[in-house]
Amino acid sequence: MSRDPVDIETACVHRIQRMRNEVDIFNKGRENGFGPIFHALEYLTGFSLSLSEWSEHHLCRFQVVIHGQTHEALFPNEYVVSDNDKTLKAITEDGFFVSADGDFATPGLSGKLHSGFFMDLLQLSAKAEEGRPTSLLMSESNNANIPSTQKQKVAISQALEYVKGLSPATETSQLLSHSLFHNFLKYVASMEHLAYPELPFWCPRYVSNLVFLMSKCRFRAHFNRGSWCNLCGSPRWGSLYLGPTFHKAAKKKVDCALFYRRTQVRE
Amino acid sequence: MIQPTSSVDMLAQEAADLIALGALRWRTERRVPRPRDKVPCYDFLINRKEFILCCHRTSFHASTASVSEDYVTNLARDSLSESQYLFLKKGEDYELSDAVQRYKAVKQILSIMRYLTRFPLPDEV
Repeated sequence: MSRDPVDIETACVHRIQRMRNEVDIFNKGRENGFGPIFHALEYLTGFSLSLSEWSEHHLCRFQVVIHGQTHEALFPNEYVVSDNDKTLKAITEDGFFVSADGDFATPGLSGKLHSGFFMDLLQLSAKAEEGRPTSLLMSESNNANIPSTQKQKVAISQALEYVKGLSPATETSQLLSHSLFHNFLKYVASMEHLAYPELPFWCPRYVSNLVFLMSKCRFRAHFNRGSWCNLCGSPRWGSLYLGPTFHKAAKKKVDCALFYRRTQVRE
Repeated sequence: MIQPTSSVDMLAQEAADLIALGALRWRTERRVPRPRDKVPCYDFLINRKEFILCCHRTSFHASTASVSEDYVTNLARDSLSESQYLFLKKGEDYELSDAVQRYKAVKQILSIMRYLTRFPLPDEV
């Protein structure tokens, strides 16, 4: 989003107005006119997709206006954390913001609370390089006379070379990305709790069954009856959760939800 | 896993998430009163605003929208008025492998979480 946010907002509004005019023209002379969404369900191919496949058409029909790449805070100014904040200082002292220059192995093996984050970063940053070891080889016979501390360093070094060679496939990198972000949030939450133990501990949890589907005849029922799968239990709320890529991962639950809704509508 | 074909599609999916959260919130609010003392951030989500965090490889951004009950109700009836918009605010992207941006990202997460948990409340802290 490199365009001016005001331009983006204006463009969204104009597009919505055009869409509404088109639907109004379509409805002229009809006894029972279509609303913008029913019209799209009837005449726009692929509109009744699951929410993980929404596109620009959905933004328009649902009248969503984008404030792109905003520099405004997403929350009131009084909540902006200052550079002197206790948690932020503790995280700084913990070495979380030390520039690694691509060497994520050192903080990854530091044994600190942020180790998991840097290990994920290490693997996500790995590029496929020919000549790297494809398996983890440990030769005991060659190292018989080497001191144990030296042996450990050699073993770690070999392990790291191995990890660097594991350039993740696309689907793996999505999982790694979630892992990275989960470790990031866990670390920040832990440091916050250590700095302010008297305050409620928050920890990242995820909405795993937040799915809904629009279909031609069931759209109204879905919203009125709720938009999640009750077969999977009551909605699990998360203070934060990962975005659009998550839904495909939960495909099984999506199917389950669809089945449930069909059953429910028949009732 | 879905790989958004463009940023517009990605924003559309974020909008879907936020609307779904809003719908979930209003539905839940009517049926299941939440214990306010124990889960202040849930209470916040139920009563005020939706946030989502979206990650892609080593970067992430936050998005937010106020999904009002009116919006959800009219959406369900397919009768949104001409001027009834859902404003989706997309935050900056932060690259977590970069130390400077990591600092900014931590600041933003802390700020969002304190906002969600309403900390520090001037009259309570």
